[in-house]
Amino acid sequence: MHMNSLVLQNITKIYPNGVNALKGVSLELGNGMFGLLGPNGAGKSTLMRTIAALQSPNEGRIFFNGTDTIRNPQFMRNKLGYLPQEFGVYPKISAQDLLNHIAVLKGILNNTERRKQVEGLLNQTNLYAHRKKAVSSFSGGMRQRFGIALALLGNPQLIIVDEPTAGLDPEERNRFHNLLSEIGEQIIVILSTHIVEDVSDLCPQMAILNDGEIVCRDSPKTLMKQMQGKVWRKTIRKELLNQYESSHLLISSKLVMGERIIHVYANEKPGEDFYPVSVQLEDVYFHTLKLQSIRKEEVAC
Amino acid sequence: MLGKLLFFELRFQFRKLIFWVVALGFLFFGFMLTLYGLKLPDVNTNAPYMIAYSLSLSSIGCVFAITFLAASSLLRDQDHQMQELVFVTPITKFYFLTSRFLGAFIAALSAYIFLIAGMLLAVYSPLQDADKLGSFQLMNYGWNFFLFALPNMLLVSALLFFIATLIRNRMAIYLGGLAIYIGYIAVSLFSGAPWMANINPPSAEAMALAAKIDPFGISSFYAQTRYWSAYEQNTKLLVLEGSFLLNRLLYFSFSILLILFTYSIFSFRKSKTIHKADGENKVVKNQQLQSYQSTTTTITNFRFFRKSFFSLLKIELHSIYKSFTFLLLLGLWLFVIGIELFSEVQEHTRTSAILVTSGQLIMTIMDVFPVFGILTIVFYAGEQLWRNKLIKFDELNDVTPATNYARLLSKFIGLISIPLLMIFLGNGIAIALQLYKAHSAIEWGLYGISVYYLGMPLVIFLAISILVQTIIPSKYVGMAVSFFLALLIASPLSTLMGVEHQLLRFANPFTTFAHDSYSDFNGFGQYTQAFNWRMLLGLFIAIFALVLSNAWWIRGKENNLKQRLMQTERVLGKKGKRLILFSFIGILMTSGYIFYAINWVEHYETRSDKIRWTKNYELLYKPFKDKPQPHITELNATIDLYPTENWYEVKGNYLLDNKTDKPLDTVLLGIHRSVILKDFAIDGATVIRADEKYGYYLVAFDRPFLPNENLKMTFQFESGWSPFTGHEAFNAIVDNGSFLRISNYFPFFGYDDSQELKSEDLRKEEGLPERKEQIPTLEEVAQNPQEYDADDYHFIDFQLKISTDVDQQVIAPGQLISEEIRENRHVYSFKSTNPVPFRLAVASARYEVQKWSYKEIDFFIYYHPSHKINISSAKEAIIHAFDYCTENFGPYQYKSFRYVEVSDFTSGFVATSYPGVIYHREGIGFTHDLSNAAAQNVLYKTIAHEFAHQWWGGQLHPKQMEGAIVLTEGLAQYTETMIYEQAFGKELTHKALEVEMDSYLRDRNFKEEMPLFRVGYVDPHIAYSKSAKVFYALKELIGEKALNAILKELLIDFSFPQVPPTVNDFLTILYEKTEEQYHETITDLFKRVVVYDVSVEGVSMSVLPDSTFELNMEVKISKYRQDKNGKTIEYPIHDHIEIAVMSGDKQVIYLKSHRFERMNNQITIKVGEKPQSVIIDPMGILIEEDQINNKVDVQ
Repeated sequence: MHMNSLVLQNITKIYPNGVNALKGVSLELGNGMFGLLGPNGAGKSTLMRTIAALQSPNEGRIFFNGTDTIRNPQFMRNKLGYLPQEFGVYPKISAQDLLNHIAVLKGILNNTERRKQVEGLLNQTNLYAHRKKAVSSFSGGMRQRFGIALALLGNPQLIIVDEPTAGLDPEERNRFHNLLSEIGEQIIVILSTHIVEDVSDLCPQMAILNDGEIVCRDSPKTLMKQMQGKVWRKTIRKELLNQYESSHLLISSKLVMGERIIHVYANEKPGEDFYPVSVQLEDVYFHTLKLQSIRKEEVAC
Repeated sequence: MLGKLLFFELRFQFRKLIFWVVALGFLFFGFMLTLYGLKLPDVNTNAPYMIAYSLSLSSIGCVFAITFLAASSLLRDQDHQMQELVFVTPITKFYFLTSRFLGAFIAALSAYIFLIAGMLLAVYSPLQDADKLGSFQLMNYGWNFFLFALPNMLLVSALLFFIATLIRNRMAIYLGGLAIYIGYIAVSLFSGAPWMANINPPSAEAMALAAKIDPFGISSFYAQTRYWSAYEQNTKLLVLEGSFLLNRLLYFSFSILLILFTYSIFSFRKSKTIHKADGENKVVKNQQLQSYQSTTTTITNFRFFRKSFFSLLKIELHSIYKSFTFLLLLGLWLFVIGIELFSEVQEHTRTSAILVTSGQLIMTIMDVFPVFGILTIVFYAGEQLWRNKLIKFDELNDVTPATNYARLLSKFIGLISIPLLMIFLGNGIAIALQLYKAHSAIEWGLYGISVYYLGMPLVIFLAISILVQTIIPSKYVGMAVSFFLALLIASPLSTLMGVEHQLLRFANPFTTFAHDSYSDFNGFGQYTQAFNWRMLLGLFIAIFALVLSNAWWIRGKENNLKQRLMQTERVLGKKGKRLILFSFIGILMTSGYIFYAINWVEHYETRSDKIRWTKNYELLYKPFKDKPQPHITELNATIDLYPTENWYEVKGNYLLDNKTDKPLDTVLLGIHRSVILKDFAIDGATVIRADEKYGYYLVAFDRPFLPNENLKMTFQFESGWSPFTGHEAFNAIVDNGSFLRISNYFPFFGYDDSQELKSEDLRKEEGLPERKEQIPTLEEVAQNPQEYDADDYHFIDFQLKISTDVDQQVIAPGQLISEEIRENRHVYSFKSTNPVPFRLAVASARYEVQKWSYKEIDFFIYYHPSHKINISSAKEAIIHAFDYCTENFGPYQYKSFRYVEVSDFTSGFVATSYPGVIYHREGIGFTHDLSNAAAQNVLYKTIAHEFAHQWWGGQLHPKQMEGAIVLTEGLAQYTETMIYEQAFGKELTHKALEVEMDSYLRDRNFKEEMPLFRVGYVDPHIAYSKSAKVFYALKELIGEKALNAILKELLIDFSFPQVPPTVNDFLTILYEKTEEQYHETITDLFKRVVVYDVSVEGVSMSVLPDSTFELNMEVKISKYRQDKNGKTIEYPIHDHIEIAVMSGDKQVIYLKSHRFERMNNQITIKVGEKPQSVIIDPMGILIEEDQINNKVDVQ
């Protein structure tokens, strides 16, 4: 098994309209599934595209297995599988033909090998029965699986999947996760998402991207452990939410079977009717975002 | 609700760039159209007629504007994938559709207002002539806006709305727009719509029909106004009645119905439904299937390039050729080119059908295709380059390692295949047509090379369009920029925008600079050379553009140009840099050569340079106009023609005679500007001032040149042309088929007004006086014949030695003395047998010759070997014309007669007559199919006309003055008509005269009209067309014999060496030799402008006891003219007009000339058979606008 490495150094992207999408992102990744978690608009897609050489950063460098891929994007393209956040396909072209086409564009020049791989991928993604159908007629889940098939063509050492499960039903999502985890061990897979479960289900390593910055980067396990015993739960009347928000470090508030349950962060039991919770990744995520926004406010003041 | 939606809609439209592009386009168009469009001498720029003209014509152009606006409005949701969103919001279908449709329609109308603004700007701009400005009337604009803009735009919007609803595809809307436009033009062309017809006016029935069914009402406008006088054009608004009203109502209701229909078929369905694939969860359990394994990839070798290129190309072709829109485009092209080709080989009102040759058909394709090709490229380049992005396949595609070159090249090849396919199909139709007609062999080489001529400019333009679409990160702006560039560098319109130099117009179609020159003699001539150079330059530019496109290729989401520019160097690489350098050097070298060839070898002039030259020429030298000059009485010249090198040299001498009564101290010698004078010398004289720029030399005699003294002058000059600057029609020395009106280029004395600025509008702009009144009037000449040189023919004797390439033959006027081959040149000597006008022409080509003798005259026909088919018909016509003229007018003057075909590189005449020689252009006559007895035999007519000039113009040679042309062209028209009538009968002659009458009536309304006997040289509709009618009427009045006897007398009294005649000399004999009762009519014919309106009304029939029939009827005669101010002046009636009665089986049962003395006449006619109808003026002798009421059926 080949050990791959992806190093991002100080990636900064400012769009011509002035939006500062990435503010000096640095990361180092090795083989395995890596979850990039962040809210919508955090800059995830920009970062993914930048890595995929679909955009160039204003500053910063990217090394893949030691090669600067901003200067030499072909090196990256040759080893990359990329599933964009959303994609369309040519009308009236079948799944098999489209896979073949992209396979050629990826450099699989040997006809037999190409046929074998395309067949294998169709099989793996459970699309073999539909291989003669136009991709444009596929349902959302099928389309995402087809996207993974596209990403897996050739010999990818880095796979980037950008928000792959958005809009999939639980069954489809599950199937998709299985697919990813099968391939995720020997190469780098970056899973960019705003859905916490995707990361907690799949990724041994993760980072949280918020507002163009990496806010934290560790394994989900460690992160959860760090917060163990500091998260408390209480069922409240919903009118009191504001009150709690100002008096406590509120992590989240949600409705469970019609009741409002809040999670707060505190070193000790913050009051009556607060119960300790077993920390979930979700708590880490929301807490991190919360902390960052508080820090920002303080700076602003 | 609707108001809000509509407001939203309009705000959307007005915020779009495309709206402003269209609006500014309209502004510009209106401005240019008014400033540089149609100009009528006595009609104001803002006359209601001109406004109607502009608004009706431009409503064709508005098709494009609406197309753009409608596409962006009607398909907006689809473009932005918002249709689910919009389609689920609770707007009802009514609000949705109404707001969308009205939004597009109102936006289009608003943009159209800019056209009117542009027109107004032009009218009130300082560039505009102030004395052509009528008072401003809002009604003039409003009424025409209401008549044309509103219904036409409604029609187009409705059609596009329908298409958009049916197909829901942007390209379909574009093509729909294009189809409406081209379909309209094509159908108009095909059906001979009046607003398109130029040489061949439509028949009255065709006009009436077109007026009713023309969807844009342009034909209706023409039908209503075609005979309007300048006064009416300045004052009258169109009247909504008759055909026009019917037409507008028809299309208005059609539009409304179409909108209602579209509304009814629209549903909130998505155009492309995504079906949930059935059986999706069905898992294929098949053990034999492969499982996924990674596999090796190779992305560095050529094989990767080749394979990825072909895979991309396959996708590209798939997306282009499997679309419905492409089929539509192709269908449209086939339809248009088919119609164009078929109408090319149709017969017309003036001529029979042509003999179909490859050259003719290819010229048609070359005329029609470029516009198609360029628009195809503009649209498809935008569509295909932005396609991946539009369907959101861009990231998946761009993330693969396939190189930019492979992507670029696949787009390029895919795109260029569209116009190439169109060319092949066009040629295919042409070949099929040729096979079907089987007139001549198929010239495969010509068809082959036409692919290069048609395709290469598009290859270049495509490369540039790709660069534009790559640089500009927006499809529509890119399209607009490409389109604008197309206008500048790739279309003949570039001169309108001030781009004149060929170097900047390198991608222009072949025909732009070749002036439609194709000849069976000469092919495309040397023009191919200049074209090849431009294409070579274009090729380097194309490579340059493609390499840069590769470097700046939008890959992924990076469409920020600055970002891409920064990477140029890295992406280019070594190879790219080398290619850039290579193509850059190529551009420098080829453009250097072209610049050298145009600006250095030739004398390059812009249009304004030329105008300035002619202006200064006139200002500086016109004062010498009346300076007494010597006359040339003898000419000896050696002319060496070098056809393949496109130049010739002349060495010669004149014998000069001072025919004035005073000694001359100085003379002014001039030379035509397209000639280089090498040397000249006049005995005993020296040049005291040489002005080479304007070609004038002031020469002083050492001792005065005395009256009746003779002096000798020698001279030497040369002339030629370069394919870069083009040839002159009358100085066409070409590889094969040369024709030179060579005496125009010989040195001359005094001021030559033929090089003056001729366009009256330009003259006004330049502050020069009007030119049209310059010919001497009858009165001036009568009072002072001496001053106008009117009493001397000034004929010369000449001797010419002409040499040409050894395989060519030379034909010049005069007697052929000798012909020999010397030093590998074919050398001829010609000599005049009797004095002739100083008017010489030379032809040189590889000819085949038909020779015969008849009544002691040697006859020759020189023709291109492939034009054999009509030679026997030509021979027949020549003998017929010879017999008619010699029997009726007097002997033919020369011992031989030569009929010579010359190439179409010459223009400006069909045929032209010189002493003993007639030169005839190949395109008209020799190449027509004369086998259809019902069609006009243009060859016969032309020969008759030109042969008559051996008398009228040859023997009778009036001086340039008022009415002189009546004695040359008028009499030639008359003789032609007589010979034609003898050969082909009354019916065809009648039809031919109808065409002449229509030409006359149509063209006369543009300015104050002269009566025939005062006509000058700028009114062919009077000198030719009216003459034909007038002389025919005269012949009907006094009889052919009597008229011919008068003409014979004119010849005896006035031909050389006697005093040249004026038109009054002719009229004097005419009055003398005819009965007094005809004099009034003769005066009407020649000295007045008269139009008739005659009609028969209220015919009643009674059966008499002897079973004959008595007809009572009322005949109304109106005889009038309209003066400049639109006032109608009635003339007294003393006319002989024929009345005919027809029986049921179309037999003439009564035909008699009646004399009328007043407007309303009761007439009784008795006939033996049962009458069917009564016709007044059945032969159409009278000049009459409305002939429909001349015939009435008997009740």
